Amino acid sequence: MNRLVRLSERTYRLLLYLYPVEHRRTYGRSMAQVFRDLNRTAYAQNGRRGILALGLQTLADVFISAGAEHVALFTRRLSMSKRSLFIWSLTGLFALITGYVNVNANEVQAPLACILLFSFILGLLQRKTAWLRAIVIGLSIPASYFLAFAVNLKPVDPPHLPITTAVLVIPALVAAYAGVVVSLGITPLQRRIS
Amino acid sequence: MTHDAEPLLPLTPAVFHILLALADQERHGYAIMQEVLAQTDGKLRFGPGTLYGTIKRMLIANLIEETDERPDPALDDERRRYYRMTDFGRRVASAEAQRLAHLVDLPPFRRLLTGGSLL
Repeated sequence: MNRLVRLSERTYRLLLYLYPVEHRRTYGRSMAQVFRDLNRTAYAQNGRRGILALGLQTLADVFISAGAEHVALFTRRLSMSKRSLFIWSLTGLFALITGYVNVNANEVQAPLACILLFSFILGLLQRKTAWLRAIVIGLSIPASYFLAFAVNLKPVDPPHLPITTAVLVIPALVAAYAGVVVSLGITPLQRRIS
Repeated sequence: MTHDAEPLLPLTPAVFHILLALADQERHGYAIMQEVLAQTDGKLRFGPGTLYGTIKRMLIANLIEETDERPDPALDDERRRYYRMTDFGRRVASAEAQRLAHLVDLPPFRRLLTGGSLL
Protein backbone atom coordinates (compact mmCIF):
# COMPACT_ATOMS: atom_id res chain seq x y z
CA MET A 1 0.00 0.00 0.00
CA ASN A 2 1.23 3.49 -0.79
CA ARG A 3 3.28 5.16 1.98
CA LEU A 4 1.27 8.39 1.70
CA VAL A 5 -2.00 6.47 2.17
CA ARG A 6 -0.63 4.76 5.29
CA LEU A 7 0.75 8.05 6.68
CA SER A 8 -2.55 9.78 6.06
CA GLU A 9 -4.46 7.07 7.92
CA ARG A 10 -2.00 7.09 10.82
CA THR A 11 -2.29 10.89 11.06
CA TYR A 12 -6.07 10.65 11.20
CA ARG A 13 -5.89 8.12 14.02
CA LEU A 14 -3.73 10.61 15.95
CA LEU A 15 -6.19 13.45 15.23
CA LEU A 16 -8.92 11.34 16.84
CA TYR A 17 -7.28 12.18 20.19
CA LEU A 18 -8.71 15.68 19.79
CA TYR A 19 -12.16 14.25 20.50
CA PRO A 20 -13.47 13.73 24.06
CA VAL A 21 -12.46 10.35 25.49
CA GLU A 22 -15.96 8.91 25.65
CA HIS A 23 -16.75 9.89 22.06
CA ARG A 24 -13.45 8.47 20.86
CA ARG A 25 -14.04 5.19 22.71
CA THR A 26 -17.52 4.81 21.23
CA TYR A 27 -16.97 5.99 17.67
CA GLY A 28 -13.20 6.21 17.13
CA ARG A 29 -12.88 2.85 15.42
CA SER A 30 -15.82 3.53 13.09
CA MET A 31 -14.50 7.00 12.25
CA ALA A 32 -11.04 5.60 11.45
CA GLN A 33 -12.69 2.93 9.28
CA VAL A 34 -14.71 5.49 7.31
CA PHE A 35 -11.67 7.72 6.84
CA ARG A 36 -9.68 4.74 5.58
CA ASP A 37 -12.39 3.95 3.02
CA LEU A 38 -12.54 7.60 1.90
CA ASN A 39 -8.75 7.80 1.76
CA ARG A 40 -8.34 4.73 -0.43
CA THR A 41 -11.14 5.88 -2.74
CA ALA A 42 -9.55 9.34 -3.00
CA TYR A 43 -6.18 7.78 -3.87
CA ALA A 44 -7.72 5.38 -6.40
CA GLN A 45 -9.56 8.26 -8.13
CA ASN A 46 -7.06 11.13 -7.93
CA GLY A 47 -3.79 9.83 -6.56
CA ARG A 48 -1.75 12.09 -4.28
CA ARG A 49 -3.86 15.13 -5.10
CA GLY A 50 -6.96 13.23 -3.95
CA ILE A 51 -5.31 12.37 -0.63
CA LEU A 52 -4.23 15.98 -0.10
CA ALA A 53 -7.70 17.35 -0.87
CA LEU A 54 -9.32 14.79 1.44
CA GLY A 55 -6.73 15.58 4.12
CA LEU A 56 -7.56 19.29 4.07
CA GLN A 57 -11.32 18.64 4.17
CA THR A 58 -10.89 16.13 6.98
CA LEU A 59 -8.72 18.51 9.00
CA ALA A 60 -11.52 21.08 8.91
CA ASP A 61 -14.05 18.35 9.77
CA VAL A 62 -11.97 17.21 12.77
CA PHE A 63 -11.56 20.70 14.22
CA ILE A 64 -15.21 21.60 13.79
CA SER A 65 -16.71 18.30 14.98
CA ALA A 66 -14.21 17.79 17.85
CA GLY A 67 -14.94 21.35 18.97
CA ALA A 68 -18.68 20.65 18.83
CA GLU A 69 -18.26 17.47 20.88
CA HIS A 70 -16.24 19.31 23.55
CA VAL A 71 -18.86 22.08 23.73
CA ALA A 72 -21.66 19.47 24.04
CA LEU A 73 -19.75 17.71 26.82
CA PHE A 74 -19.12 21.00 28.65
CA THR A 75 -22.80 21.98 28.37
CA ARG A 76 -23.85 18.56 29.68
CA ARG A 77 -21.48 18.86 32.66
CA LEU A 78 -22.64 22.42 33.35
CA SER A 79 -26.32 21.38 33.46
CA MET A 80 -25.41 18.49 35.78
CA SER A 81 -23.56 20.80 38.15
CA LYS A 82 -26.49 23.28 38.10
CA ARG A 83 -28.73 20.46 39.28
CA SER A 84 -26.25 19.53 41.96
CA LEU A 85 -26.13 23.16 43.12
CA PHE A 86 -29.92 23.25 43.28
CA ILE A 87 -30.09 20.05 45.35
CA TRP A 88 -27.48 21.33 47.82
CA SER A 89 -29.24 24.71 48.11
CA LEU A 90 -32.45 22.83 48.86
CA THR A 91 -30.59 20.77 51.48
CA GLY A 92 -29.37 23.96 53.15
CA LEU A 93 -32.87 25.43 53.14
CA PHE A 94 -34.38 22.23 54.59
CA ALA A 95 -31.68 22.16 57.29
CA LEU A 96 -32.47 25.76 58.24
CA ILE A 97 -36.21 25.08 58.40
CA THR A 98 -35.65 21.92 60.47
CA GLY A 99 -33.36 23.81 62.86
CA TYR A 100 -35.84 26.67 63.20
CA VAL A 101 -38.76 24.30 63.86
CA ASN A 102 -36.65 22.41 66.40
CA VAL A 103 -35.65 25.52 68.35
CA ASN A 104 -39.28 26.68 68.52
CA ALA A 105 -40.97 23.33 69.17
CA ASN A 106 -41.76 21.91 72.59
CA GLU A 107 -42.42 18.40 71.21
CA VAL A 108 -40.12 16.15 69.23
CA GLN A 109 -42.77 15.30 66.58
CA ALA A 110 -42.45 18.51 64.55
CA PRO A 111 -38.65 18.45 64.02
CA LEU A 112 -38.76 14.67 63.50
CA ALA A 113 -41.46 15.09 60.83
CA CYS A 114 -39.23 17.69 59.14
CA ILE A 115 -36.24 15.32 59.23
CA LEU A 116 -38.23 12.44 57.75
CA LEU A 117 -40.00 14.49 55.07
CA PHE A 118 -36.99 16.52 53.92
CA SER A 119 -34.61 13.54 53.88
CA PHE A 120 -37.16 11.54 51.87
CA ILE A 121 -37.55 14.36 49.33
CA LEU A 122 -33.78 14.76 48.95
CA GLY A 123 -33.32 10.99 48.49
CA LEU A 124 -36.06 11.04 45.86
CA LEU A 125 -34.45 13.94 43.98
CA GLN A 126 -30.91 12.60 43.87
CA ARG A 127 -29.88 9.05 44.66
CA LYS A 128 -26.16 9.68 44.51
CA THR A 129 -24.72 10.70 47.94
CA ALA A 130 -28.20 10.71 49.51
CA TRP A 131 -26.47 9.64 52.74
CA LEU A 132 -24.50 12.90 52.86
CA ARG A 133 -27.61 15.07 52.62
CA ALA A 134 -29.36 12.91 55.23
CA ILE A 135 -26.46 13.56 57.61
CA VAL A 136 -26.75 17.32 57.01
CA ILE A 137 -30.48 17.23 57.78
CA GLY A 138 -29.97 14.98 60.83
CA LEU A 139 -27.18 17.17 62.22
CA SER A 140 -29.25 20.33 61.72
CA ILE A 141 -30.93 19.48 65.06
CA PRO A 142 -27.83 19.59 67.30
CA ALA A 143 -26.46 22.40 65.14
CA SER A 144 -29.62 24.46 65.77
CA TYR A 145 -29.05 24.24 69.55
CA PHE A 146 -25.47 25.37 69.23
CA LEU A 147 -26.48 28.19 66.90
CA ALA A 148 -29.27 29.24 69.28
CA PHE A 149 -26.81 29.39 72.19
CA ALA A 150 -24.34 31.28 70.03
CA VAL A 151 -26.86 34.04 69.19
CA ASN A 152 -28.30 34.05 72.71
CA LEU A 153 -31.62 32.60 71.70
CA LYS A 154 -33.37 30.34 74.19
CA PRO A 155 -34.75 27.13 72.59
CA VAL A 156 -38.24 26.22 73.76
CA ASP A 157 -37.35 22.79 75.12
CA PRO A 158 -33.61 22.10 74.91
CA PRO A 159 -32.34 18.61 75.83
CA HIS A 160 -29.87 18.14 78.65
CA LEU A 161 -27.11 17.20 76.23
CA PRO A 162 -27.87 18.67 72.76
CA ILE A 163 -25.16 16.56 71.11
CA THR A 164 -27.21 13.44 71.81
CA THR A 165 -29.71 14.64 69.24
CA ALA A 166 -27.12 13.68 66.63
CA VAL A 167 -28.76 10.24 66.84
CA LEU A 168 -31.49 11.76 64.64
CA VAL A 169 -29.13 11.15 61.70
CA ILE A 170 -30.41 7.55 61.79
CA PRO A 171 -34.06 8.30 60.90
CA ALA A 172 -32.75 10.85 58.37
CA LEU A 173 -30.73 8.12 56.65
CA VAL A 174 -33.69 5.73 56.68
CA ALA A 175 -36.00 8.36 55.16
CA ALA A 176 -33.39 9.37 52.55
CA TYR A 177 -33.00 5.80 51.33
CA ALA A 178 -36.74 5.30 51.34
CA GLY A 179 -36.75 8.21 48.87
CA VAL A 180 -34.01 6.50 46.86
CA VAL A 181 -36.00 3.24 46.71
CA VAL A 182 -39.13 5.10 45.55
CA SER A 183 -37.13 6.96 42.87
CA LEU A 184 -35.75 3.64 41.61
CA GLY A 185 -39.32 2.44 41.23
CA ILE A 186 -40.40 5.62 39.43
CA THR A 187 -37.65 5.62 36.76
CA PRO A 188 -38.69 2.41 34.89
CA LEU A 189 -42.32 3.59 35.10
CA GLN A 190 -41.35 6.92 33.49
CA ARG A 191 -39.51 5.04 30.72
CA ARG A 192 -42.54 2.83 30.11
CA ILE A 193 -44.85 5.84 29.89
CA SER A 194 -42.55 7.68 27.49
CA MET B 1 -39.29 10.46 25.67
CA THR B 2 -41.66 12.40 23.41
CA HIS B 3 -42.70 10.73 20.17
CA ASP B 4 -44.04 13.86 18.57
CA ALA B 5 -42.21 14.72 15.34
CA GLU B 6 -43.02 18.45 15.25
CA PRO B 7 -40.55 19.69 17.91
CA LEU B 8 -37.67 18.22 15.90
CA LEU B 9 -38.50 20.11 12.70
CA PRO B 10 -36.93 21.58 10.67
CA LEU B 11 -34.25 18.94 10.36
CA THR B 12 -30.70 19.85 9.43
CA PRO B 13 -29.69 18.72 5.91
CA ALA B 14 -27.29 16.15 7.39
CA VAL B 15 -29.99 14.54 9.56
CA PHE B 16 -32.57 14.53 6.78
CA HIS B 17 -30.23 13.01 4.23
CA ILE B 18 -29.02 10.35 6.65
CA LEU B 19 -32.66 9.42 7.28
CA LEU B 20 -33.25 9.27 3.51
CA ALA B 21 -30.16 7.07 3.12
CA LEU B 22 -31.65 4.64 5.65
CA ALA B 23 -35.17 4.78 4.21
CA ASP B 24 -34.98 1.55 2.24
CA GLN B 25 -32.26 -0.45 3.97
CA GLU B 26 -29.84 -0.49 6.87
CA ARG B 27 -26.35 0.79 6.14
CA HIS B 28 -22.98 1.33 7.82
CA GLY B 29 -21.29 4.73 8.09
CA TYR B 30 -19.35 4.70 4.84
CA ALA B 31 -22.36 3.42 2.89
CA ILE B 32 -24.47 6.23 4.39
CA MET B 33 -21.91 8.79 3.19
CA GLN B 34 -21.86 7.27 -0.31
CA GLU B 35 -25.67 7.26 -0.47
CA VAL B 36 -25.88 10.90 0.66
CA LEU B 37 -23.32 11.88 -2.00
CA ALA B 38 -25.39 10.06 -4.64
CA GLN B 39 -28.68 11.63 -3.46
CA THR B 40 -27.25 15.16 -3.56
CA ASP B 41 -25.13 14.77 -6.71
CA GLY B 42 -21.95 15.21 -4.68
CA LYS B 43 -23.14 18.50 -3.18
CA LEU B 44 -23.53 17.35 0.42
CA ARG B 45 -20.27 15.97 1.64
CA PHE B 46 -19.33 15.55 5.28
CA GLY B 47 -16.39 14.02 7.06
CA PRO B 48 -16.32 11.12 9.53
CA GLY B 49 -16.45 13.54 12.47
CA THR B 50 -19.64 15.23 11.29
CA LEU B 51 -21.15 11.88 10.29
CA TYR B 52 -20.67 10.21 13.66
CA GLY B 53 -21.53 13.36 15.61
CA THR B 54 -24.84 13.42 13.74
CA ILE B 55 -25.35 9.66 14.15
CA LYS B 56 -24.77 10.02 17.90
CA ARG B 57 -27.43 12.75 18.18
CA MET B 58 -29.84 10.77 16.02
CA LEU B 59 -29.37 7.70 18.25
CA ILE B 60 -30.10 9.80 21.33
CA ALA B 61 -33.21 11.26 19.65
CA ASN B 62 -34.31 7.71 18.71
CA LEU B 63 -34.41 8.56 15.00
CA ILE B 64 -32.12 5.64 14.17
CA GLU B 65 -30.85 2.55 15.97
CA GLU B 66 -27.80 0.39 15.68
CA THR B 67 -28.58 -3.09 14.41
CA ASP B 68 -25.42 -5.17 14.40
CA GLU B 69 -21.77 -5.34 13.43
CA ARG B 70 -20.85 -7.34 10.39
CA PRO B 71 -18.49 -7.10 7.41
CA ASP B 72 -19.57 -5.53 4.14
CA PRO B 73 -18.70 -8.05 1.43
CA ALA B 74 -18.40 -5.22 -1.12
CA LEU B 75 -15.56 -3.61 0.84
CA ASP B 76 -13.46 -5.87 3.04
CA ASP B 77 -13.91 -8.34 5.86
CA GLU B 78 -13.73 -5.79 8.67
CA ARG B 79 -16.79 -5.63 10.89
CA ARG B 80 -18.83 -2.44 10.50
CA ARG B 81 -21.64 -0.98 12.60
CA TYR B 82 -24.97 -0.93 10.77
CA TYR B 83 -27.80 1.51 11.42
CA ARG B 84 -31.47 1.58 10.52
CA MET B 85 -34.31 4.08 10.84
CA THR B 86 -36.71 3.63 13.76
CA ASP B 87 -40.48 4.01 13.40
CA PHE B 88 -40.19 7.39 15.06
CA GLY B 89 -37.40 8.33 12.64
CA ARG B 90 -39.68 7.38 9.75
CA ARG B 91 -42.43 9.63 11.13
CA VAL B 92 -39.99 12.53 11.53
CA ALA B 93 -38.59 12.07 8.02
CA SER B 94 -42.13 11.98 6.65
CA ALA B 95 -43.05 15.16 8.56
CA GLU B 96 -39.97 16.92 7.20
CA ALA B 97 -40.74 15.77 3.65
CA GLN B 98 -44.28 17.14 3.99
CA ARG B 99 -42.95 20.42 5.32
CA LEU B 100 -40.60 20.76 2.34
CA ALA B 101 -43.34 19.74 -0.11
CA HIS B 102 -45.58 22.45 1.33
CA LEU B 103 -42.79 25.02 0.91
CA VAL B 104 -42.20 24.04 -2.70
CA ASP B 105 -45.93 24.51 -3.36
CA LEU B 106 -45.84 28.16 -2.28
CA PRO B 107 -46.08 30.63 -5.22
CA PRO B 108 -42.84 32.55 -4.43
CA PHE B 109 -40.95 29.26 -4.34
CA ARG B 110 -42.44 28.16 -7.66
CA ARG B 111 -41.46 31.49 -9.19
CA LEU B 112 -37.90 31.00 -7.91
CA LEU B 113 -37.76 27.57 -9.52
CA THR B 114 -38.89 28.91 -12.89
CA GLY B 115 -36.46 31.83 -12.65
CA GLY B 116 -39.24 34.38 -12.28
CA SER B 117 -39.34 37.41 -10.01
CA LEU B 118 -40.34 37.09 -6.38
CA LEU B 119 -42.59 40.17 -6.64
